[in-house]
Amino acid sequence: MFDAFLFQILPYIAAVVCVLGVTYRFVRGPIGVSSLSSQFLEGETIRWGSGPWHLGIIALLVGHILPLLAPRFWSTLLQIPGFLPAVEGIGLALGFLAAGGLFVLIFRRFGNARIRAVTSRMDTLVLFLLLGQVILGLSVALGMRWGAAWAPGVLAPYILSLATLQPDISTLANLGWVMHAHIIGAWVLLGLIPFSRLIHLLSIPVAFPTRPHQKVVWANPRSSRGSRSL
Amino acid sequence: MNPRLLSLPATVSCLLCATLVSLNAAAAVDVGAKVFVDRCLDCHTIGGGESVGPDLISLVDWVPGDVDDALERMEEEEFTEPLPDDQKSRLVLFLARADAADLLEEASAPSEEVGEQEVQLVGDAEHGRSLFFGETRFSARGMACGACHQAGHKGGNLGADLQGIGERRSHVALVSACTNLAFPIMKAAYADHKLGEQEVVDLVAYLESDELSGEPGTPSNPVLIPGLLLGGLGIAGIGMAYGPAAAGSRKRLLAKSKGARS
Repeated sequence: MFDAFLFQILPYIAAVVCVLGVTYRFVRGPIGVSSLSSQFLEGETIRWGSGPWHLGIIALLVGHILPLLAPRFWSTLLQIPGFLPAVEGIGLALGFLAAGGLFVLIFRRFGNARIRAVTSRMDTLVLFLLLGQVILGLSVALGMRWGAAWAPGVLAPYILSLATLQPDISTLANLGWVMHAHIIGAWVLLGLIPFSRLIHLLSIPVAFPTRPHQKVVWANPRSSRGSRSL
Repeated sequence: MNPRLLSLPATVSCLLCATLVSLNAAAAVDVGAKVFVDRCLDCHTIGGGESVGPDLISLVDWVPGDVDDALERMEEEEFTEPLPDDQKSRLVLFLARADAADLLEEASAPSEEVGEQEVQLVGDAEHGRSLFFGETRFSARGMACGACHQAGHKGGNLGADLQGIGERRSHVALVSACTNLAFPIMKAAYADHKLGEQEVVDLVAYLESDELSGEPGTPSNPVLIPGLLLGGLGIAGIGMAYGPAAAGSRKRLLAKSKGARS
């Protein structure tokens, strides 16, 4: 019964909450669809955290989505000699990259008074949920290899069953609590997107590479006013 | 009437009943042994030592209720599909027998039917190895065995290590395991991807080959060290490449601001 709720009902609750919440946020004020950057409050430590975290997690998300959405194509790729260890090695490296970056971001958020002052409870919850999710993912990669090979046969049918509104959790049996917690964590994070900084997932800077060059300069004569802050 | 004459039919009837009961019991035990081959042999032995699950030789000392409880727990934890009640009772009868190991050997001996099949289908161990590790796709596009199972110190560790499985399991049990796919996770994953007869025979030939003789090895992850190194290098590289530009422009502005003040 509890399994049915976690793996068959929770995904739909999370998806509906996500779609309705995100739509509301966009309608209410598109300017608020942002991660509320804190780079101006602290610009030194962030370079060791933000870059590795974002690069790692974006590549990992793509690596998760591809085998689940196109399992046959993925299985064909797996036939290429050396593809499986290469993709597992890169996946593990991206996992360590994301985990390392996230540790730095957590240290920065709670170790710097200026950042701590703009940190909400939701930020804290999301940070630690993401940390748990990354640690669980690394545990799966290390303890239940080769996920890249078994995911198309074990997880893709589950995702497909959810997408066709005929949820079937039979392939999740015996996967162990680590994998189960990883799946539940994913649904919880999906449901939290509209209520947290995670909404910036949807503010993809598509125009950034082609927009005109901008040079940011200080326009106000700070020194003449005696201001010491920047 | 002479009471001795009366007791004769009674004695014959009793003997007949006893024979029927014992024949019934023997048949039930045989069915139980077959249920064991189909449903339990992939994970358990009787007197053959620990496998994926424990050796069930000790079950002769159990009371039937204990076996029922154990089966219920396994069903709850989804290690096995629920057994019909008639099969369950016969399995319990079989497991309680002191000679269960001998009966199991008889039950898992190759039948004539299988012998005929073997004549028709000759296993190709090399092709089996290729199928096992996904170098050749199964005809029904099922997942490669090596995705979850380790053999020859290669492959995944989601499922059991199959090193030496050909020495621990009979040919029939291996064919049965590959054909029936009794484990819940395999049953679901291969529901629409049944293995072909020739594929099963090739896989079994590989599992029985000398290449896989010996004991299961310690699972290792060959990508752990490269992954750690790449991840560490990635953090250092991104931090160094991404940082100075962002921090540098600000530092320049700070320096300019301080210079203007002084």
